[in-house]
Amino acid sequence: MTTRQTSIDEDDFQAFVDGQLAPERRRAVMAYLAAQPGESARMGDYRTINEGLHQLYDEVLYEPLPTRLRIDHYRGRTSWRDRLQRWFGFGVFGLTPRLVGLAALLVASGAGGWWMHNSRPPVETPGMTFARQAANAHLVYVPDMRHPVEFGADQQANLLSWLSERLGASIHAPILQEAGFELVGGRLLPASGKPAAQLMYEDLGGKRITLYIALRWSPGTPAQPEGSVIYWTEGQVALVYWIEGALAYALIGEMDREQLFATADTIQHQLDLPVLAPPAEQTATTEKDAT
Amino acid sequence: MTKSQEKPTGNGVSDTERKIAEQIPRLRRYARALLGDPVRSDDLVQEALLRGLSRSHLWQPGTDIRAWMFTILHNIHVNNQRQRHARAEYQELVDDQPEMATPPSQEQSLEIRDLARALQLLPDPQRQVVLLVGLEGMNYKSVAAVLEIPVGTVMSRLHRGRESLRRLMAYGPPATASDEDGKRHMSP
Repeated sequence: MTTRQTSIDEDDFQAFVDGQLAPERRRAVMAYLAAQPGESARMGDYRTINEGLHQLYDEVLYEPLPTRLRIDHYRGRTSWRDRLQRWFGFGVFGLTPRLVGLAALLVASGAGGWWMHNSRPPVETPGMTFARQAANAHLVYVPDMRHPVEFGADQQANLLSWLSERLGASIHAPILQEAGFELVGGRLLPASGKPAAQLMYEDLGGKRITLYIALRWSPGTPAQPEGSVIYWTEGQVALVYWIEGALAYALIGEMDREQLFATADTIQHQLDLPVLAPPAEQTATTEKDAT
Repeated sequence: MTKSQEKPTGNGVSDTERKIAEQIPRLRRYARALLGDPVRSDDLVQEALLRGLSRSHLWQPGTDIRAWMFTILHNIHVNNQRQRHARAEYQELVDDQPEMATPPSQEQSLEIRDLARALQLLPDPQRQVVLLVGLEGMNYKSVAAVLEIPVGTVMSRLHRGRESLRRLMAYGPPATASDEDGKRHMSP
């Protein structure tokens, strides 16, 4: 309860968690939360809930559809089916799936998770794929002492314009000095047949973190709200990722969960600022003001 | 949809039908989280799908088909709930225990299982909002439109729903459990 008494209310907090705040408002909430560890923790819990929901249910998106939920099943038959439906309710179509469902449940509860995994096609959400690729890239290049990056921070303008050109979207290198990290440089990487970018940062103690950037996955099924940050562990690596505009971002490093979130907030905050256009020759790619 | 005589083009699915089909995975995810039970939730989606298809001519091209389909699903759900309640009162018997429906899988951590259970303990209206926002990623206005409630109600249900989940999962300090939701606006 220090200086700030801006009228931040509960709605702002919820919108903050959901990435539905305008940039200035977000900044105000962040400033408020910085002085309120209790409230900050509460926001963390809400985020955990959002992530948990995705972890629990996102795989439904990628489960093969049962026949009765496939549109070609109804093609040209809707009217009589409609009529049947009205007469019999779900008795006709509901019974078999019910039994199948029960059987699946028994198998699953009897044999545990792994059996369930084996009995159906593996489900990996695009978010999971993205997180895995980001983690792998981190593990490969972070220990590299000789060539951790293709372009160093001294050629930042070149690096960013090159990456922007290859990804087809404007890439910025956020400034993370507040968190103690300086840009080392970056590189271009392959990701499922498309280009992705990795930016590497280092602190004074030589600890490295990476920001992995790729094009967002199919807009038809975004597995998460725009801007909302998801925490993920991939092997021994912890990371946070989020989608913003045309791009998906992952931040990876040996930090605890709170630090990852705080750094992600800093990055999101900076990406909101139009000022952050990379220096020099960048002309073709001026975006970010109309997400 | 009374187009059964129409010669199908391509794979026989019209543009609107295809757009409806694209929504199915999301409707399914939402229904699964809302009801907890895979079969009942697929029933709900199927019903929404049938209704959507039979009324696809009512959808205004250019408007948000996702919101349209979610509204249809929501209306069916509310209707079903009403019937279920009536039936349950009549028989004085609650035969469905949603917790049983989510099979305990060993990969899921304790917290995640707790969340699934806690979610089913929320009042239905709160669960809807928490899911449409947190899982479906809808903006508050769309949620208000789908559920046919004011945005202010969306916000208060969201807040209450999240707080309940948090308490149910024993995150928050139990001491704060007393002050209910009287502190919607916090100014020290």
